[in-house]
Amino acid sequence: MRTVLAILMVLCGFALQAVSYFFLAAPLGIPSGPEYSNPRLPLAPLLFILGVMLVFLAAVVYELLPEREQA
Amino acid sequence: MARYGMVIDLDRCTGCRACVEACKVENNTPRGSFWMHVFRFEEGEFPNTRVWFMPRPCMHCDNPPCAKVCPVGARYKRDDGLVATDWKRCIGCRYCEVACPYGVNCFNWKSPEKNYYLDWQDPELTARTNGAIPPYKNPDLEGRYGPEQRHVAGGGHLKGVMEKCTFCVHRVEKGLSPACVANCPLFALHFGDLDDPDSNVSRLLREKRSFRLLEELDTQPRVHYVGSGHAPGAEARQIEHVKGRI
Repeated sequence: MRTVLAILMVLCGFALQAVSYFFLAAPLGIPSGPEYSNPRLPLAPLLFILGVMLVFLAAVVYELLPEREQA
Repeated sequence: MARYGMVIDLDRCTGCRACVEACKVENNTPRGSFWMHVFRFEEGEFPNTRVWFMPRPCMHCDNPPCAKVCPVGARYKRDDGLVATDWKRCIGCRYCEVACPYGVNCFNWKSPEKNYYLDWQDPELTARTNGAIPPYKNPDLEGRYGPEQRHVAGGGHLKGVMEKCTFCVHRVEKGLSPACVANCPLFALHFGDLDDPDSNVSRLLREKRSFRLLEELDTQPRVHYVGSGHAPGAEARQIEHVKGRI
């Protein structure tokens, strides 16, 4: 159970990072106006940070949750 | 829409720091917080040395790293080119401070009343003012500015909030120049619309050789330096390091 949960958290975290970095943050490339200066979604960096936190929290969750007892 | 920028003539600057003083008075910045700073550099070996001065406000970059990393959208680029900080939205994470290669961001460590220049309870001062506290807070700083109507002029310098040069947005929106420009006794600082070919800044950029700081980083600063000077390199030694008292 804890393994599945930890892997899910890692995957969600990386997905959140990728989406926020590539699709929601300020576009890459040479700027030609303020529309390229600000993130496309104002809270995109926050989503990226949440993604990073989720990945690191996966390790905490994995360590804190009890291992399933062997029958 | 104007595209504001600043041009600093290094040939004219004598390092008097009137701009620093004007900025502090206009914006009531706390002690140890310098939105405008004048670097003093020395080059060469004795006796062939040269001392020169370089005022450094916020660069108001067209490609601002600070705006891109702000997790709450407090730091943002306005349509007129000013990089603004909404002090009511800022959470003080200091990501902008890390991202900015120019070191223009200041963090408010203390509540402002403990940080202003004078101790209003000082007996010597009380004797002079007869107990009356002089007005030290610029009311314009509390207002909302721009089409977004956001609090970008510095406000009351709250504890735990990032701040930086605003290009005196509260003055610019009234049609005035920033305080540093208006108070430079040698007209070394110029402010205007970079898109207007008749503006002071455009004329200076046409007539004189210019450079911008850390152009290799592609931050596209809107502060241009003109004159016979150059960007400080490894040969420039900074003299008189200024450390703010916090």
